[in-house]
Amino acid sequence: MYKKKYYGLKFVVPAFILYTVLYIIPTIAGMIISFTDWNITRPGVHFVGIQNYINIFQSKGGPYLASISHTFEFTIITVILKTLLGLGLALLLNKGLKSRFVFRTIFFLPYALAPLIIGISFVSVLKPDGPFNTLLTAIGLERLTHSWLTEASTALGSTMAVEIWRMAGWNMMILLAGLQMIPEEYYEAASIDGATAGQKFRKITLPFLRPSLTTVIVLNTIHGLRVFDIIYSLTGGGPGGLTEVINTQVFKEFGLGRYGMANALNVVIFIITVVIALSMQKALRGKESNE
Amino acid sequence: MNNKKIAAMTIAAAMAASLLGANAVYAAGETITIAAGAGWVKDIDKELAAKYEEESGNTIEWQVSPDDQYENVLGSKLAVGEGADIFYTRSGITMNKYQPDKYMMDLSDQEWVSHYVDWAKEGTSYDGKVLQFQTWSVDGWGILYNKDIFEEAGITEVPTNFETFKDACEKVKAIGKTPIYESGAAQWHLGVWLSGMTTQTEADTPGFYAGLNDNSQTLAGQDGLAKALDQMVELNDAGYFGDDFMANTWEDAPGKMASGDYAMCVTYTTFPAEVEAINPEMTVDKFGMFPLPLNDNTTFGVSAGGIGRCVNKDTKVADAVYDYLNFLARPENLTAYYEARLDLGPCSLNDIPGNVPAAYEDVMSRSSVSGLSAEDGILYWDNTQVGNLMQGMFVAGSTGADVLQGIDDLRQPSFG
Repeated sequence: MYKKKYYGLKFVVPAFILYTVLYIIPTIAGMIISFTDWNITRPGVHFVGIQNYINIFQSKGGPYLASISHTFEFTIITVILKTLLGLGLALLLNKGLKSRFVFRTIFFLPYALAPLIIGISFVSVLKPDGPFNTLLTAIGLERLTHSWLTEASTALGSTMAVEIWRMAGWNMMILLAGLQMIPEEYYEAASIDGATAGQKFRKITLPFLRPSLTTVIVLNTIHGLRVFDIIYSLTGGGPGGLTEVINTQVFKEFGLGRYGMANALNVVIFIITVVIALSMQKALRGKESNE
Repeated sequence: MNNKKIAAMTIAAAMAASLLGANAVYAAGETITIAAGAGWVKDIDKELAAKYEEESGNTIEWQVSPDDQYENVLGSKLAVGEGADIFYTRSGITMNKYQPDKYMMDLSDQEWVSHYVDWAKEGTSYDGKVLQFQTWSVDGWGILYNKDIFEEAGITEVPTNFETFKDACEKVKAIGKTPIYESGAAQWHLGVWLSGMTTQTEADTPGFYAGLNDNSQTLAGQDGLAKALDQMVELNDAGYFGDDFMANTWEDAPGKMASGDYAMCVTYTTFPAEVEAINPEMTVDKFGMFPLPLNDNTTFGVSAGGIGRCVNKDTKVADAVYDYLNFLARPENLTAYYEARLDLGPCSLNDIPGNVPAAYEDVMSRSSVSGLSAEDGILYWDNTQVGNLMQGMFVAGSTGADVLQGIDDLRQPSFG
């Protein structure tokens, strides 16, 4: 009887082979290469142990530590703001508003666009004479205008803002799905008991929403740590390396033909992502099961 | 047999037939693959290739990659044995990045080599062997200036050192125009400034490049270069690059110079033709050029000839490749090529005059000496990476000395 419940080997093996060939082998190969000095400008590939990793943590040969620092900064701020904005939008568009379906679509649309396209578009929007500054000037806020992507004080923040704009709708959708799973009766009972809106949010909405929040926070963290395309298209890691993140550095290392170092950086971000994502998931899920 | 099986077999048979059919088309001749960056392949290259296909029965297959990814793609393909039969690279020292002994065919015995002008032969040679077929042109980057704006600003003498350059900038600023259009968003363009300045160091201390290339010399400690970099910050602080120059793009440079709002720009010598194409009133004779005046430089850094075609040592169609290169080297085809490529200067082969822009003659006449710029003279120099470090001077407060140390740090891993 149980035999029928399991897929036969003929279903499993092709998927396993594909996964092994396309993912597991390249990942292991990348890890092995990270212990070599493979560089297209030199003949031969030599085993160098953990030298590439030492160079990364000493920032020798590139601004590696600064890239790691920018990656964390980008991740922490975008995770917080994307989640909060997504939650705000989800609460706003959950019910009541007649045109909520139209707004949901509008807010979700940026996620449907390719990050590279968004990046290229925002380069124009955020130019000193671009539409954003024109708008600020038109409403009397000229003193707030900046060369957003090329000034030290605004460059990294601008890339974060674009990422938040792009992903807020996606966060909203996941949290909306969570909100709609909450039975209406709880709110009705709470209202009869005289609960305020804030109390209902804290005692009903948030606890029920925790699984969805766990999902968006963990996925936002993974997206943040692995950010590449939005930064590459907006600033290319510049100006002067102020928006350099690990993956733009990986891209540059590949461009310079330093495959050993590029793979070492890849392994570093892979390990950081796995450790942080699993820890967060464990911590957040743990709280869920305690409740 | 059900309908799905019949449909699947029919599709498979059709695909097999089309593949066989495709092979049959090429059976009459060889297929020559050519790898290049997208910006390096112009309409005239495609036209000549089509003409060759018609004449020879061989087929040319282009493998074009975006410019900023091409070097990476080329290096990877060569490393795994999948390099194209012909691949484009920069001439000069850049060829060394691709292990010439391993991947590049010795072309010294080809007939067209005997027609090479000196700079072309020098720029395409490695270890005494000619490794490239080169039909670009020697050129360099200097300060292009608008003669009318200079006259309007009362600048009677073309700047010859940093002080007179600053005076000129101040006078231009005083008439309400921006002295210099600098595309700060294009990191490579910032790198061009320093790449041109190393020519001065090599002229002052011969063997400087050789020392850098055998890793016995560093850029750090070169006071003249550090001073030149710091002077760029001085220019910016004085407002000579205009507002928000870090947002300026290179793509806008021809239009900005054509607008008449900017007096100067660091460009190559054929650039005025691009300006004239945008604004026919801004004719090429309205522009002059002088060497980069930072650190009182008077040398003119030039390229090793631009982009050349290397032949893959592992090509299976060497005879067809040689035949194609001989076809391109015919005088009528070279003439057609240089007539179409008005962005190029003098021809690399001595049978054809090519184009010698007025700005080239102007800057050469104002230079004490010309020599290879860093991009073609210093191994593992990358203008984009250098420009990235230079941006730090304008946004993060780093100094010229920091930039030079950063370049050393970037180059070091490539020496092992």
